[in-house]
Amino acid sequence: MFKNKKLLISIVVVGIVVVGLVVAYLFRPEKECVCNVKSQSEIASSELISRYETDENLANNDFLGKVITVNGIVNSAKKDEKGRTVVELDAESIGLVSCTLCAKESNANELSVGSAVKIKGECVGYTIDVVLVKCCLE
Amino acid sequence: MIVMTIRLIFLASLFLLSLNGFSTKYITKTGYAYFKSHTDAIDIDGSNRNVAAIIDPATGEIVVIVLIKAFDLPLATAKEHFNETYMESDKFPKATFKGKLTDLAGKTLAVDGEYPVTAEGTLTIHGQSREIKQKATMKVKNGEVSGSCKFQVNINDYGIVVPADVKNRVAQVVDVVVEFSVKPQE
Repeated sequence: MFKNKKLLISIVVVGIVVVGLVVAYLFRPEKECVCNVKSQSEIASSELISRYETDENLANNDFLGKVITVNGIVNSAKKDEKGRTVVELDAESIGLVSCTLCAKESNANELSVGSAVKIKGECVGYTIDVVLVKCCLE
Repeated sequence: MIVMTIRLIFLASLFLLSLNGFSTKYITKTGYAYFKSHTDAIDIDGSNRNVAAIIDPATGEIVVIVLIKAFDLPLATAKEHFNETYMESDKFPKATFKGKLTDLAGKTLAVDGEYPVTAEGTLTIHGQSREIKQKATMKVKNGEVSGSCKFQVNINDYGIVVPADVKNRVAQVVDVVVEFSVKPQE
């Protein structure tokens, strides 16, 4: 009787833990930053734009949805409506590389136009610019 | 300086688009898009502040580009399903609208006021294109030009398939809002 009771309690406890883990997994918040994610490649802003301007599909194969590190010169740095800093990197071409810093990076960093920076972020594609989100300064 | 000059030239002839002539184009790269799927089981919504839009008031032509992976969804699981199962954003990274604001052609947007317009053209989502016609509003206030449009998208029209086991959790008709402030580029 005592053994069965112990077993029952164990099953209930394990059940609660499993359900808790599943709920925690399903309802985990989206990551705001990629600071702790390993970069899959490093590239100059000019090279990144050039790759997209040459062949967008091919560039998407290489960069879309991936965390990459981009080197470049700050063209502008402005806050968006959510208070996140959007850094535009010169790319020696027509388009720019637009990097939206995540909230904690936006609070911590003031960037000056003309300074050289290295920014890690998730590439989400190409409009007029190549767009990186969830970015962190390296 | 040279790069800046090249960029200004580019912006004037923007984008491989059929926007013609030497008239002033209005451009943004930080427009806003929002969607909401409402069901009795759950509401799913997402927002995106990386929307690009180009308008030529002289002809009324407009192009809007929305990067699908740039949508923020509050829950990681919802974002995964949105990108991988429904929108297939690796295959179809953009949604676009290319068409005309039919009541805008010929206006300069130099005078403050509210301009009700009709957006008419091709909406492409998930690789599927459909002709649409939708009421929208352009506003000019202190020289700043903004636009907004609310509409609904039937996901069936764009080949978006929802697995049977979650059909009650994803709306067949999704509410969409697009808003942007555009700046003139000569």
